[in-house]
Amino acid sequence: MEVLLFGGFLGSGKTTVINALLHNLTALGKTAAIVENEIGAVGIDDVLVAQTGLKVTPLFGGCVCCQLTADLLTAVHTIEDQVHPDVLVVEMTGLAMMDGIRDTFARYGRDTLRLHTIAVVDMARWAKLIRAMEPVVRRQLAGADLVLVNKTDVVPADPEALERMSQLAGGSPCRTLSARDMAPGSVLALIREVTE
Amino acid sequence: MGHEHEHHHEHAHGHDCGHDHSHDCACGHHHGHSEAERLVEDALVLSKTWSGEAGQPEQLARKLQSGLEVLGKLLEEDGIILGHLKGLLRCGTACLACSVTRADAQDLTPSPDWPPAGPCPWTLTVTVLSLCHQELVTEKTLDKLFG
Repeated sequence: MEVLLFGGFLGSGKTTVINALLHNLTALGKTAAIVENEIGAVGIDDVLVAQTGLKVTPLFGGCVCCQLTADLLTAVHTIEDQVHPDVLVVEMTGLAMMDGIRDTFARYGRDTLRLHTIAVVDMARWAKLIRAMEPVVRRQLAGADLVLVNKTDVVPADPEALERMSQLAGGSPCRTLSARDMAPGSVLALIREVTE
Repeated sequence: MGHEHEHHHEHAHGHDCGHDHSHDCACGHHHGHSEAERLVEDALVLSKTWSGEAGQPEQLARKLQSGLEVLGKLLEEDGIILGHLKGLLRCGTACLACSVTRADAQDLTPSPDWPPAGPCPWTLTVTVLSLCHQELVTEKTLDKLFG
C-alpha cells in the first residue's frame, strides 16, 4: 500500500493540499483512505475534507486519533488489512516531527508499506517561523522526501528560502504551489515527480 | 498536549514571546527532551464548541470572524501566529471554516450551500493552537468572544 504522509507546521495548508490531492486521486479512479490527526478536542479538518464533495466513508466508528506514532502505525496496518485503498493519506498534526515518525515507520512498519513523506511549508510565514521556531521547523522538514511550499500567492518563493528548506530536508526537492488556486491534477503531479 | 505539567525553557535565537521561562520544571521526565519537543510541549491548545437551536448564519459568521480577529491580535508575534487559529461554523448542513495564521488575514472556506437561510440549528467550534503568548488566551477569553 502506498502511504503519503503529510507533515508541516500548524496552518501551513496541509488539509487544503490533501483535499486537492484526494480529488486528483479519485478523478483517476483510485481509492484513497485518509487518517486525520488533529490537535484539539473537536476535529475541524475532517469536516473540511468531507465538505469538498468527496464521498467519505468513516472508518472505525468515524475517528482514528493518533497522537502517538505507535497508534498511527496500528491504524495504518489495520487500514491495509481491512480497507485495501490504493493510497493511504495521513495528515499529521501541525506539531508532529517528521523525522521521528519516519523513523517509526522504518523500524516497525511492514515491508508492504511504500512510504513517501511530504512536508508542507507556509511561504507567507517562512522567514518569521524559521527565526522564532527553528528547532521545530527543522525537525518537521528532516526526513521529508518532498517539500511543498504553499501560499506562494501571498508571498512569492525566493530561491534562498527554497535552498534552505531543501537543505533542512536533506537535499529533497522543493516545489511551489498555491493550494487554494491550483490546476486539477497538479498536486498529484508534483508528488509523482518524486515517487515514480 | 496530554501533559500534566507545564514545561519552561529558554527560547533559542533570542526570541521573546513575553511569557515566563524562568523556573525549572520539576516533573522529572523531560530532561532528555530536545528544544523542539520543549517548544511543542509548551503549546497552548484550546478547543471549545458552542451550539444553539435557531441562529442566523450571517450573524454567527460575523461573530466567528470578529472573535478570531481579536484572538489574532492577542497572539500575533511580528505579524504572524506562531500556531493556528481555526473556527468552524455549522448551520444546518452548511458550514463555514475560518483559518488564521497571520494577524491581518483570514482564510474563509464556505461549503457550496453556504449561507443557508436562517434561523437554523448551529454549532461553532474554535480551536486555538499557539506556541507563543500562551498566557493571554484562556477558556474564559473564548467564552467572552464566541459564547
